[in-house]
Amino acid sequence: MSAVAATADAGVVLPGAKPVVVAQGLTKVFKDFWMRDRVRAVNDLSFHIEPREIFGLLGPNGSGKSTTIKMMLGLLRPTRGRLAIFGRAPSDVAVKERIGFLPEESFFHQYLNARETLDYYGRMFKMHGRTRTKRVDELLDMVGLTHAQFRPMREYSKGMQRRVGLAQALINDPELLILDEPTTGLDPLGTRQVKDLILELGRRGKTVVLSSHLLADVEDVVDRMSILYGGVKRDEGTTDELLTSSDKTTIETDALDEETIAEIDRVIRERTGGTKSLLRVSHPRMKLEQKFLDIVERARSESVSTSGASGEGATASFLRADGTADQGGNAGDELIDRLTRAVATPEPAAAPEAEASAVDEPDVLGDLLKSDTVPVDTDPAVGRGLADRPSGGPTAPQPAPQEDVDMDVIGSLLDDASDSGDDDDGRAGGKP
Amino acid sequence: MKLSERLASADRFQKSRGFKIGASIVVGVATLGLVVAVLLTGLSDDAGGTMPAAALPDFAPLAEQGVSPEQIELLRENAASAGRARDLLDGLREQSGGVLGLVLGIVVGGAVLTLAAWLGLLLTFTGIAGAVAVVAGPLWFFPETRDWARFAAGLSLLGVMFTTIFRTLRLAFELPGPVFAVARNVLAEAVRLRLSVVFIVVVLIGLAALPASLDPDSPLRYRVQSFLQYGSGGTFWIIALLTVTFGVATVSFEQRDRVIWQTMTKPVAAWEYVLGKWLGVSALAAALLAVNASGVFLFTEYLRQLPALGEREAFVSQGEANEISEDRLILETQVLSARAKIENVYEDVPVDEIREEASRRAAEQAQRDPTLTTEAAIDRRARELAAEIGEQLTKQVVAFQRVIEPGAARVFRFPGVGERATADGPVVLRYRVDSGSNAPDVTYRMSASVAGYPYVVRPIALGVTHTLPIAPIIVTSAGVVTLDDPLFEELAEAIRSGLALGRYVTVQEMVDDDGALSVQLVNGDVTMRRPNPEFASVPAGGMSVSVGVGSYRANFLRVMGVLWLKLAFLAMLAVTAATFLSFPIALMIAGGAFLLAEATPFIGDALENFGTAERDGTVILHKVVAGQVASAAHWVFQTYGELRPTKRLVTGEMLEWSGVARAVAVLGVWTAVLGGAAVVIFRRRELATYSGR
Repeated sequence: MSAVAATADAGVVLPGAKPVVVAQGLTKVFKDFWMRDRVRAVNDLSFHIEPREIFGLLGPNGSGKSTTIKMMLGLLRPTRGRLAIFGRAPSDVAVKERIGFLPEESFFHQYLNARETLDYYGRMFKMHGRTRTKRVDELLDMVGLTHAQFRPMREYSKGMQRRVGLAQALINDPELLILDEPTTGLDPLGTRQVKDLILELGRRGKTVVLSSHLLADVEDVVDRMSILYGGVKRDEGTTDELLTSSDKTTIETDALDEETIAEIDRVIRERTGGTKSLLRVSHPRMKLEQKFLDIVERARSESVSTSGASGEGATASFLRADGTADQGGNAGDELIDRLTRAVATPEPAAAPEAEASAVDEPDVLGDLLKSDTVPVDTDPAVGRGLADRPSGGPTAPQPAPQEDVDMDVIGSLLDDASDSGDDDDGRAGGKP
Repeated sequence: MKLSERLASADRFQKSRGFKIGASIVVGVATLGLVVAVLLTGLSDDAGGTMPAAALPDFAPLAEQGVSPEQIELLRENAASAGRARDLLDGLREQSGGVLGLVLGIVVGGAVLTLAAWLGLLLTFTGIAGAVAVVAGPLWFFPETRDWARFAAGLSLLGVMFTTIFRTLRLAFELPGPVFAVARNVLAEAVRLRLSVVFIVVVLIGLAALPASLDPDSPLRYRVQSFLQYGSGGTFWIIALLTVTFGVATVSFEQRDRVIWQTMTKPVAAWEYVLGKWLGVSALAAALLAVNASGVFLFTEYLRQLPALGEREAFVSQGEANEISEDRLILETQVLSARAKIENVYEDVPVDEIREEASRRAAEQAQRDPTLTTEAAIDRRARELAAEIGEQLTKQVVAFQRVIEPGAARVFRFPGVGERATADGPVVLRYRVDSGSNAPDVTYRMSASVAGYPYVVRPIALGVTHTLPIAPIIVTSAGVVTLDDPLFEELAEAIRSGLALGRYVTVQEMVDDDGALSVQLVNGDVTMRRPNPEFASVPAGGMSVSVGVGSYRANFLRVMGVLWLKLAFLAMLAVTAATFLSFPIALMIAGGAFLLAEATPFIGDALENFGTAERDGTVILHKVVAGQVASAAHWVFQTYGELRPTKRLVTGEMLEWSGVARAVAVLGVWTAVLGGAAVVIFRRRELATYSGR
């Protein structure tokens, strides 16, 4: 599969660009003390990750996600198969200059504070003092820990440590960001921020690999994913390829009375000769995540104090598209941006749900009645019945985050979107 | 304004560039002023206090009294020679360094204060000094609490020194790159990890409290030796244990806690990580050792300024002649010195004769053995017996050369003394005599004659090392007067003035043409013609002469340098062990290796007498294995063990530059080999583990 074809609907890649990660027949067998096979954690796994792609490794616990990531980082050696990062062996030090890594748990020197931790990892990249200090300041602000930066890490909550972990993974403005269960331990606010950050980094041309068993988190952000079970790849493709159910249709309107619903059902039966009908009618529920975010936002507006992470910070300038000049080497990113604009093929943007909800009911019904198929939203759960439907399931309207979360990150996202002409990379429009 | 705000404000002020520049100027000017004042005072003292060397008396008129020209020339030579005694004694009295030492101390102090200013610590240190003065000042005025005052002052001084050195090292590790980042982090870990902090506190408190443990009534030389022994030797052990424990902990904990995942996914090569860890641990050891060395050195100099036994004040004798007391003489020539130790050589063992005699006896015994019926069996048994008998005979011959019968004499020869001794430098005989069970209530009288000069008779306790200054001596018609004799200086002056007859003999006049010095030791009192009751023997290594060949201060620096080399080696040993072993196992291995290395001299001695077979020739397997292991360990750590820097410091033995070079070469190679192994292991290891279940 060519690089362009691989990400045709996912993102924008440079034609002929080499994959960032190539795995062929990757196998990892853990041995016991007597060198007998103990666990075959990964078995004959092949995949590739293109530049500027957000790639998800999905699977339940023990499916081989973390093992794969550890092999990508050189922390484990494959028993068999080939693995190349930027065309080199994962253990190559030069490769690590271009990688940021967030492990599944927070592993830090507990005697250091957050600032010292970030400073320490900044030194690893031979950063000059001033650049390092600036980046540390921005990252601390971004993850909302400026006020707690001098507290030892051992006093941090798990979520706060995850935030530091995220900051250290970004200190070198990496080309490839590897996130192992990035939202584990984070509150919904932090989860949302991480997801927004991943999207923003993707827009900046970074390649992101993330593993998770929290499928909703992955679905929100990835372009393409590979689903593992028992160390074996079970499926792979873009989000739409894997999740769209073409034999069902979901319609969302303002609230309807029983008569109208009955009328719609009647129309459907008439048009299909009685072979199809309304399968499920319900009132959408707000996602709990959104409810939580609303509460936090309200508390902030009332200046309620907290000793934890504030989560207020803007994305560090060196990570943003509009970032000021930084010695971290944004020139390369700008070049990629220019090239990207030149080759980007704008996709037809999916209708924003906020707009959809604002459309008058009669018009929607009219359109429905006029057209044979109108793919507004597709839900695999449709038809399973109310009892089977997961709470806050996909049939619920997806609230527009721009309206509910007033964060600088989002602001910058909107700025960038407007600057670059409505999702010129075709990614943000398909995501919440 | 709250106190904390005031302190924060003061801290900001001391860290401002203006303060640093201003403080540097003030300290510089003060240092310069003090140096000039000391120099001016010192020069004026020298001008007024030192009498010009008196001219030799005119012996010519003696010719009119019938004295022959040859005798007059001899008198003149003796007078001139005896005049050199004053230089020697003045030299011993000025071992404390005099004006130049004081100037050097002021300059070093000024440099440290300037460094503290640029580290942003000067006001902090000034505050600490003020607090200590307030607390310790009143305590100093009461004899009962004076030790507490000394402890408080010492502890704060050591703490200040440690902080200064530590911060300087951290500043040095601001250099870019992963190696320095890792090293810097190790230092941060050292002062925040409970494990290492305990060791650091123990070192500082132990050293500060050590002076209080010295017995003020014991001879000064013993106090100094005790302090050097525990101050440098004891503290070295604590620092070494810290180095091993912390070196293992900093690497293994990082792997145990998986922090290594974060580190090694950054652009850090295995060699950079290992080097950084080693650098950090070695730097910590260096900081503690430097603090320890400074504390030991300064307090030793303080002790040196206290009156020795037989002195009413330092360097001033209780006697009217202001002679050098024995305590002071031994302190300056045997303890606070850098002397070469020259052991006597025994006569060559007559190997051929012993072999012949052994064969003869073995053949006789084999012939008499009724169990041996064939010629072949008799021959085989004779060969086995010949080896055993030969070994016994050799031991007997060697032992015989160390034994002196009651009333008999034995000559001990010390080669190379002429080459190493300076013309006027004192030479001291160190000897130990054993007899019977070395009963503590028995005193022997031993007589010694050097190079054929009259005997000196000394009462001695058995089983204890004694010293006898054997050069220079003054030979008179009444006998020999040694340097520790209260009359020595007075007699030398009398000879120089022509008021007494005698000859001032230096070591160069005592050695033979080959430069060897011969000492005849008699088991008894020759003047009283009374032999001691039993055989006397000199144990192996129990007879030597020591010759001053360098300065104590330079020796001190070399000793500290070698101690750091040992610590750096231990640091790499610990880091290497922790690259592939868990904390307890790595600690056991590295700690065991450390103990083994320190015990190498004892292992070497034990191996000499270690048998691996029964009397009947049956080989004992486990002893063979133990012997092989011990031999291998001895081979590996031989250089490490033989250095014995602390022992040399305590006994005033010179640590030769050649010894330092050998230490650098051998320990350097071992450290590099261990480091290389650590890098290879680290590169081959999988740092992550299976996280699934």
